[in-house]
Amino acid sequence: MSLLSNHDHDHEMAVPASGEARTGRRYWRSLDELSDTPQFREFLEREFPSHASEMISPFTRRAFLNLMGASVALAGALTGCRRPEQRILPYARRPEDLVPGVPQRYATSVERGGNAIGILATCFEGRPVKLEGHPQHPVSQGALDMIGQALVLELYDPDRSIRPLEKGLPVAPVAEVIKRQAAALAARLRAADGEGVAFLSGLATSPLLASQRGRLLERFPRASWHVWEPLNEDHVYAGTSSVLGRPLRPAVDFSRADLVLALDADFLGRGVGALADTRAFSARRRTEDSQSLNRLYAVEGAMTLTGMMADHRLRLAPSQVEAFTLALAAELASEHGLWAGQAPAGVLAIHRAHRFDARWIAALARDLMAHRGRCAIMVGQGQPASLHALAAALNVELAGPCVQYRPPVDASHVGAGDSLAALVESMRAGRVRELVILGGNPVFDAPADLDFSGALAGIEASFHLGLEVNETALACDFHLPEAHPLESWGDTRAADGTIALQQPLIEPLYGGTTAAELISMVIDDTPRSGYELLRAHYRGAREEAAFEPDWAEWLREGIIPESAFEPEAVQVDPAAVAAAITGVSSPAPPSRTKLELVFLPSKIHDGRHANNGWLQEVPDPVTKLAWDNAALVSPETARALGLDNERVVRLSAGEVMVELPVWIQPGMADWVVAAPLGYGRREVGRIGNQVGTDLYPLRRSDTPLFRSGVALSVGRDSRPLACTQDHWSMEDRDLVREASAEDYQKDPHLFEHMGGHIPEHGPLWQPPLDYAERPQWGMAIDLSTCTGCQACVVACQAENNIPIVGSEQVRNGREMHWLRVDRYYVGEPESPQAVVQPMPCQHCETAPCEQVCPVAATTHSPDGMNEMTYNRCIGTRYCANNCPFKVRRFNFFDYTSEASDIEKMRHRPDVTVRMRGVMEKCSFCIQRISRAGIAARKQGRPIAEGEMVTACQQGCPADAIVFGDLLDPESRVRQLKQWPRHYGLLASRNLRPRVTYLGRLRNPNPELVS
Amino acid sequence: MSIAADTRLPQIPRPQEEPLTEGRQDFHSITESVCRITEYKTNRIWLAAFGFAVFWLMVMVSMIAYLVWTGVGVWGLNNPVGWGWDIVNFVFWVGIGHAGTLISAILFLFRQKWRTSINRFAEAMTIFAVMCAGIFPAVHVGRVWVAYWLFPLPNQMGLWPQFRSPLLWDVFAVSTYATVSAIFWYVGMVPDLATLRDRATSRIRKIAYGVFALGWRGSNRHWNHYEAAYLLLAGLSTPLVISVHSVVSFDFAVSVVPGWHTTIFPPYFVAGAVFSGFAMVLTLIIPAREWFNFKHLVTLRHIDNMTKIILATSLIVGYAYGIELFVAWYGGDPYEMAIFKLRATGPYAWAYWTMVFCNVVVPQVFWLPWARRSIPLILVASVLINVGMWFERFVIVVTSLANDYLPSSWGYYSPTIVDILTFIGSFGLFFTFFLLFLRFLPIIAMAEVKAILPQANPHHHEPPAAAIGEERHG
Repeated sequence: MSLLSNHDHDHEMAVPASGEARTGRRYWRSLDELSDTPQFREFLEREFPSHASEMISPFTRRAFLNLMGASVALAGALTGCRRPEQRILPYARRPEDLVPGVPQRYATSVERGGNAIGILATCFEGRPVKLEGHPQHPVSQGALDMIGQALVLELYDPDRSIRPLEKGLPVAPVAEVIKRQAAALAARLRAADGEGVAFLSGLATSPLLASQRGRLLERFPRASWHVWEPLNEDHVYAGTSSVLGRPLRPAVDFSRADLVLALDADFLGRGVGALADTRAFSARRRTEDSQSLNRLYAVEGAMTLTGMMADHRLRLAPSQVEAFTLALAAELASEHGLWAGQAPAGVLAIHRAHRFDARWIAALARDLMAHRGRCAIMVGQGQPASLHALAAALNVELAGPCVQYRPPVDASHVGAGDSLAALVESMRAGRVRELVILGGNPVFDAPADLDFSGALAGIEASFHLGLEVNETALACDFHLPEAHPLESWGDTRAADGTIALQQPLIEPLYGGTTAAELISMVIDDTPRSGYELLRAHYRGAREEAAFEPDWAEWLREGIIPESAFEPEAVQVDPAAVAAAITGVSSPAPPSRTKLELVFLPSKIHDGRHANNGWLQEVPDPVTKLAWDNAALVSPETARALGLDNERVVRLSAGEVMVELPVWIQPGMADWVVAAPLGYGRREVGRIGNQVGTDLYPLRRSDTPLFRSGVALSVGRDSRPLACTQDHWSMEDRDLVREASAEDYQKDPHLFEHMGGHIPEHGPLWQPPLDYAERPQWGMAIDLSTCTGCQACVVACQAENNIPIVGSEQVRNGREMHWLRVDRYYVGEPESPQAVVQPMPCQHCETAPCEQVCPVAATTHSPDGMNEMTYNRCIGTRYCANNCPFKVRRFNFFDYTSEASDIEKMRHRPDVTVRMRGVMEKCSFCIQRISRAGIAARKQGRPIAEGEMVTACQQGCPADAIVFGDLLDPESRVRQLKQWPRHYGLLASRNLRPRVTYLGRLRNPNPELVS
Repeated sequence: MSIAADTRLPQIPRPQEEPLTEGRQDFHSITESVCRITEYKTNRIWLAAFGFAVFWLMVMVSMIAYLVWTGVGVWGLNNPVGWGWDIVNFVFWVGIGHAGTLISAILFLFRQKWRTSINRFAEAMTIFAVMCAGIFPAVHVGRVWVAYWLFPLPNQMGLWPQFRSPLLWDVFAVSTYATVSAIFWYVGMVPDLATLRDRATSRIRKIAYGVFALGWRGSNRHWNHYEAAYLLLAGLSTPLVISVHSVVSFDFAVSVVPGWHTTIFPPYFVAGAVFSGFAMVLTLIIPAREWFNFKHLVTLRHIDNMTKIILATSLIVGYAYGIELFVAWYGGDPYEMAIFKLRATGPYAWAYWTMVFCNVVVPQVFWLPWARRSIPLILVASVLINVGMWFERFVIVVTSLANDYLPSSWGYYSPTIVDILTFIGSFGLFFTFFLLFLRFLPIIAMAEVKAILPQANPHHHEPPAAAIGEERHG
């Protein structure tokens, strides 16, 4: 893929000349602005954009349905089912490098909760519309997770903070208010060297922000700086500090680890790290001959993607995991001589005195020893520091080079929990009288026991800089709109230390600012822009002329080469391990009266993405629940407590009580209730307000991700939940075929035989197409590597202008996702295994849908795709009925036409926005095929392998989706389709699908297969 | 065998047949009893009934307006179930619209003279039912304003419909059926319209009936042409009786949906349609013969005959239900087996067993001769059969879609209030037209009934008064 180079930074996204002389750079936001219509000016000037009444009015269904998208064209650039009725103005003089309709790509990066992701953004006419993972960035490696894919929607969120607030009231104009407030803040700081002023930021990885912080504290030494992040890694660093001597972050080298033990660690499902881990892990599951398969053991309380991928999964309440690990360590030490008699004191004492599955532990211990130097133990962030310490000790002995340790991204690392606690204490003690909150939402997500909002109310003045007018913004005296990461200059640092630059893809839509710029306004006599700050930071003492080539290169590539940390050599302090183990308590397992509540990081992360419709509507990868969160319980717990799905229960601990509906989730540990965090937002916007239930009131500083001793009482009401997959069982159908590595070695063709005997029969009549000419598109999806993370689903949604429909319509079964991920359970309902299957349109060569359409709106293309002609569709839905895979989606309502101008900007102009009453479905990203085809035709050659990737394929961190030309002898998809694991669905129906699957291999420990 | 030889055969004495009309009927009395229904001053009961029907018609119109304005989402359809009450109602009404042409055409060709008393009535029912049926597929499409693309109209896009689609065959089958049925009905009515014209006293009636009677004078040449045309139309209609519901069944049979993809569907659907059509004729004619006082024209013998047809078709339908299960098991296809098992035991089992009870169990009562003449019992049974036949379509359409190949997309369908009101409203449409028919048109084919009176026989001699009705002449 080509990263377009920009030789002159001043013109990176320069405006087409509009006749009027302008000074300096000017970004433009839309074609409307370029044409500078009175409507657009009015739009900017108005207090709220159009549909303001709907914004303020409570949550109407109509508002809800129409939140996103547009059915008419953006200034004529979109094609729609209806003729656009807008005036269009062509360029008088075309900007250099900008061809209307031809997208440009820029490298940038974003961060989430102290983790960076490299991004490649696709822009049409100055509008970023699609984000991809940066191929060279160590975290994304070309893929991008659900939240990353959905970030672009937040840029155009009409509920974003668009005006500064003073005491809750909007003030304008933006730029002047920002200046005024910064000046006021500077004055306060100057008054006493910063005495009484504190800053609170998220766990930012940005070296620029770190340097700004340093400069601030240098200038005002008595000011203080704190950090808070609800989903933090405090325990990891505390654990490694205690036994390794300094805070280090462990990372597993999956290419070396043949065995992975995940202790309450959802490394495939949660957090930014899952991107890189999934890529590396899945590489070990992608195999033709099963030789390179690794083995994954998971011990966890709630069902997670990691547990779904695991070869062996043990259900265990999170509070018990530490005792389990001790038992394992004791087994290793006493039976296998780990630590060679030097075992930390206390480990041997508990040998066999545990209540866990002894056979499981014995087998696991033997397997670990057999893989010594080729295994890794991972521990979840919510587990106590002592377990991280123990795991570090075990890893040093067992894992060898498979676990590498790197320093924290932020050199002056402090634990978020301690930092916030210290801040609150200072606020209460009156030592902090003014607080500047740079992003984040501590009023919503701070630990309940700290009572942050109470402390905030007691101080003299509070400032908040944020993307959204959230709970914290309204609790503060002053609020300033922050620029979206896609609108601002900055930098990020990945977990391995790689620095990536962040460049704006569009001028701030609402004139917001960034934390670094705000600090500059406070400390610098002449405030500098984000661009100047960033450039100055990286130029350092270098000459401008010497720096410029590097800078241009970094901007184009997006990352600064050789900025990664080297893994550090570590040594365990046995005394520290012993101390850590002695400190381990062995809490009683949860019981009927004292349940354990697990806080799950959710698809809206910690709640910050609650107003993102794509993330709300995409079903949870495990539960398949869209929108509201639920209290997940195991089937046995539900039976014992008399719970059924959607029944509202009351969870209480101490004085605090929350109510939320129940969802029965197979695979949960008994007497454990799990609930996703971040829901029940009170102030976030029309999409996210009051969706689900807020669990933060039950979350304390000392119980970050699970809490024992929670009581549950059953209510009478029920609250409907939007589940996209009601049926859990595969009904013994050969849809997802799986086999153990052992069986596969004995008979590599067993996947083919699973479909039963299919009589050979050709088509009834000669097919009209012979599919002889290149290209012939096809796809293979590897079920061995797919974790079910659903990055592909959101990627598809972003790529193809797919609307959201709202909770009520999802409950009606009307979600519009072109690609879904089916999840089935196999085995015992108490302790099931799960399998997943991404399900796009299968592009059957003998497509049943085409045969029944009365108006030929769905037809076959010569390159083997089943195509949908929206303009011709009259909406009989016969095709959807006749689709054996039920992948067709019908526009039951008008989901798009009432979008505001800002919302319309997020649409790709090369994908039709569908009107109501028409059918739609996966098109194999035909717009990308056309683009690749045009490029290839210009050069008179076929489309080369790798030139055409679908959005789902591109987003997939597991590289499970492979698309390509079936007639290209070099193509990967062609090779995959010759693997013995290859099979197509519903072979008995003679559908000849172009999308086929590679059967799933599991690699169980033979000792545990009874 | 020559005709001459034929005539030498001994006459086989025929069993004493029940007469087709009761009481002392002559041409005048029949004209009187049929025509006066249209000539009375409009009575209040009719007005009330008509108002009620129009009210529901308006409910349907507003529901459809709401649907077109807002989108198909106002119905309960969802992703696996793309067709719900809309297509259920369509098939239901088409099925009802079956009896009329069957009675008119097939029974005519088979020289079943008892048809004459009920054929007009049944044909009217057919036409109005097909009207109701036609509305549902027309408005169920997502973009009603381009639904005309279903017709092979020359257009600037140079696009034809997709002729392999059973939905398109439906368009042709149903529109042909509706057209031929309407012509057949109208042609058969011409002599009777002339009778009404001749009796008309008001100017409006004279003009209206005059126009529609097409200048019928009852001349020999008229009768000659009329009977030839009627025979031809009967011949034309006969295959349509079979074809229309066969084609409707192709909507399902040609698909790949388990539970739809069944070769038995065409005969099964035709039998079911005759079954429901006759039940509907009974449901309508039993009150009508009471209120409009023509029990002597539609006698218990007619009703008896119709219940026999219902019994016969019920057996066919019951056999089809059984054979479907057998074939699903015998065919060994897991998807097919699963859907039939789910129908009987799954979330829609209540609908399945309602269907079996109403369509298979209830009609068995007609084995009993007294039951075939018990008016209240027949009325109840005929209504139950219509309920059962509606559920049959519901079971076929909805359960198959709700549980097809991939369990991940299984769903449950329930109708919304809009679905329900639209369906009830379609009865409003039906009865609006039916009540107008009852009020303004000859509801019994006078000319045909007269033709089967003894007096119509050229060899007829007026017997003594007491013998009328008990004696029939060859």
